[in-house]
Amino acid sequence: MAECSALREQLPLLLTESLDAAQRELTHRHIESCIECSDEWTAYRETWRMMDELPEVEVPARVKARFLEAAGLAQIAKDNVVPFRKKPAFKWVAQAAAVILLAGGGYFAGRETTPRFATSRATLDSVAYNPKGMIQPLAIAETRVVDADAISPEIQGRPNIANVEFIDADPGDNKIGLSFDMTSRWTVTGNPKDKSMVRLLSYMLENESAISPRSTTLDMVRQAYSNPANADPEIAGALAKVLRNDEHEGVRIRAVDTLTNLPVASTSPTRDALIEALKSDPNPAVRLKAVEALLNLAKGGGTLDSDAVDTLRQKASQNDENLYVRMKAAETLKNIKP
Amino acid sequence: MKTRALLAVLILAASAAAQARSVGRTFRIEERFELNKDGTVILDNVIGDIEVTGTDDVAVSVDVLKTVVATDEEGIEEGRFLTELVVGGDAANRVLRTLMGGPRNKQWSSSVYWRVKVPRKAHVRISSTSSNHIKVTGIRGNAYVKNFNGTIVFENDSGLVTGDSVNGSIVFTAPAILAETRLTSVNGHVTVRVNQDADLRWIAETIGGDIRTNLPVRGMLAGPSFRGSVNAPGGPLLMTATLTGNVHLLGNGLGSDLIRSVRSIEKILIPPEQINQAVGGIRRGVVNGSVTYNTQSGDVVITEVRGRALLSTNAGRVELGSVFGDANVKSSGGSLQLGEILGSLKASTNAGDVFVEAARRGGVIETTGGTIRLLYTGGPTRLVSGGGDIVVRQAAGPVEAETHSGDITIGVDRSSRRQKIDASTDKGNVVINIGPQFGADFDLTVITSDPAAHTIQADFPGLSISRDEVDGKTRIRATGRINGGGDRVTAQATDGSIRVMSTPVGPTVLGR
Repeated sequence: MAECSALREQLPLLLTESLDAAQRELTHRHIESCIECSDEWTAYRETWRMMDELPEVEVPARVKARFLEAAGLAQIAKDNVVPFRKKPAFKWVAQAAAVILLAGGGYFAGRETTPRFATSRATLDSVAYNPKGMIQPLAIAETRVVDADAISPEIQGRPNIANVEFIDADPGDNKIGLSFDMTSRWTVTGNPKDKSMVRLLSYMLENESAISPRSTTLDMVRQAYSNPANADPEIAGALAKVLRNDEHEGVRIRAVDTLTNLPVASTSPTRDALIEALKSDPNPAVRLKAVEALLNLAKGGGTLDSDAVDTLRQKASQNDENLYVRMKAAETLKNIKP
Repeated sequence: MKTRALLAVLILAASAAAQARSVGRTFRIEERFELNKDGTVILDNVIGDIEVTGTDDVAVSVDVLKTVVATDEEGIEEGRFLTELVVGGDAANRVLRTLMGGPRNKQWSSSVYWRVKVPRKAHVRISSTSSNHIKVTGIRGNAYVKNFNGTIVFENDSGLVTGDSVNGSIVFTAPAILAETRLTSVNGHVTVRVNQDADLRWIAETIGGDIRTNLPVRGMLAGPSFRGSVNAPGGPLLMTATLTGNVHLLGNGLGSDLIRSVRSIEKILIPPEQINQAVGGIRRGVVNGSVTYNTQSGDVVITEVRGRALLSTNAGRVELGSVFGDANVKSSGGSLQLGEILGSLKASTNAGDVFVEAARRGGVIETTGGTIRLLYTGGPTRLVSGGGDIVVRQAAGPVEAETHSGDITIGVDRSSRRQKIDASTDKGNVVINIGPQFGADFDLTVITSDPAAHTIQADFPGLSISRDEVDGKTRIRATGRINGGGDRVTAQATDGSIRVMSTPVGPTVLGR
């Protein structure tokens, strides 16, 4: 607990990226291993994000003055104020006269120089038929709810999808929903195994700007697809792409976590993604998660090819690698059957 | 629950029945192939043991046992057919390989046991995935073995040796390390056995295990690594590393009760004022070649000199790492901290302690006031202190030690059978530690005003003791010959005791 207390003091510094590399790694490792601190960290980040999104509001002068007075700073504030002097009335009259003169002069000058066209009669050339009932009027900001099996699994083009929310209103009904903004707000509901749902979710996972916060969505993907009945290699493939390409290490960590819990984690693309992350991800926490995932895979009887074994071997012997990664690589090697 | 138990029993019974039906057959192949004397043998075996032995023959002799286990004869035949032994290359590079491929229609497993005899000077490269052991014996060329599982054994190999395993342990046995030897495992242990007098540089590393030895190594721990030397400095490099296993460096013929962990040994601490805090003078890393430097004031700090070193300062200390040639170091007022000197050493200071890791060819070390600590000397060495202790931990050469006030401790190299020693203190004790086979003619004298407190003690029989009075003090004298006699060992202690003992010297770890 003392360790938690000490490390929680580091969280604001971690948030503002003010920790040095060693401290950062240490803190990340602790967060990964401690549920309470992980929750605390998530809350910090959420708060930070919310603060970033809040509009900056100008404080009313009266409130500001009262605050300064209460804080005993009123005098200081007064010293900085330049006294307002009332301007004489005749100055206003002269200014108004000048404005009227300029505006009036401009109008008359313009009227004399504009070209003039002759007036003509209006005519109707054709009338198009608009069948009643074919177009349903939609209210602005309406949410359209459709079933996944009613939409095509093929996503054409690269539609801009944003503000994705994962909805699982009733965990017992084996149905999930995805709510997102496209041209309007859409909610697609259906079985997690439904091809359209899988495609849509995969597309969203791979589209970095679509989901926010992505880590929450990744958790939900884990919930929905960790059930062997819903296993789908396409989701695993999408997560592998997230692991390869996402620029945020927090997201990559969640992607490994999610991958580890999927029943199809032993597929070749997933293994390759984990090995690639172990080999070259710049963040030690991601490498650490990747090697743990490989260890789980090995303990579960999964096989690794010679490239994977070589990578683990190299990592275990690499002096400048994170010690935990080295030890886990060694443990993985102990558990695999080449 | 009952159903599950019944099911388990049925499966067991079925598998036992299947096992009972399985048959195994071994096929033996003997061949000879041409190989140049300094040619290379490359052996790649997936599953099965390997033994490679260096001989005086001028060809490669191969004796292979291919074992196939299957449930029936057809399986045996298929296994035999699909477990291929391939020989390729030429007289310069002979390639021996086991291939296991092709579509399987039957259940079978196979392993191949290679026994290969190669010319002694040939180079050997072995790669294997799974085996009980791989043994390489009597090779003078380079030996390289890489495997995943199974023990690797190197025996009496004298060329460059490299062993690399994932889960297997590595054992290296030889009288001495004659060329660079690198033994690394991820999860296995690494054990090296050499003679007690073997000279070598040793790097040992483990994170999950321990580093142990019963040899008189000296060195420094840095995190999970230990870097040091055994006996004379400058020997070939022995690199032993494992991530989760233990590293052992053991002396042939030394008891296992002498094995110590270098992590648990009390460290010899270099005094804080001697730690790198130089502000003036000269600071250098590795100097390729000789160095001469003379300053009126300031410290001299150099990591390594790959030549001779001639250094002097009138007011400052000298901190010097390894010196490949002779070293002449002088300070008019500061401590001297010297590493391994491969040439002869001349070190003197007017005021301060002197610490020397090793003087391979011996030399002269003097201080007008301070302690002298020398961990190893391999040649004739004279040590003089105006007032302070003198400690020589392992002397493989004659030693002459003299102090006006302080104790003198001299440990003679355990493998030395005879050696001249002369120790004299005007006020203090003398301790001489010798091996059980050390032979000498002893002449030990104690002059004391308190004969009850100051005595002569020896762990060896054969010394005769006499007492007389000189200038109002008691003179106790012990003379005699042990182990058949040898060079003269003299010691004189005034107002102190003399002790001759035989206690093995363990490793020494330096700390900062």
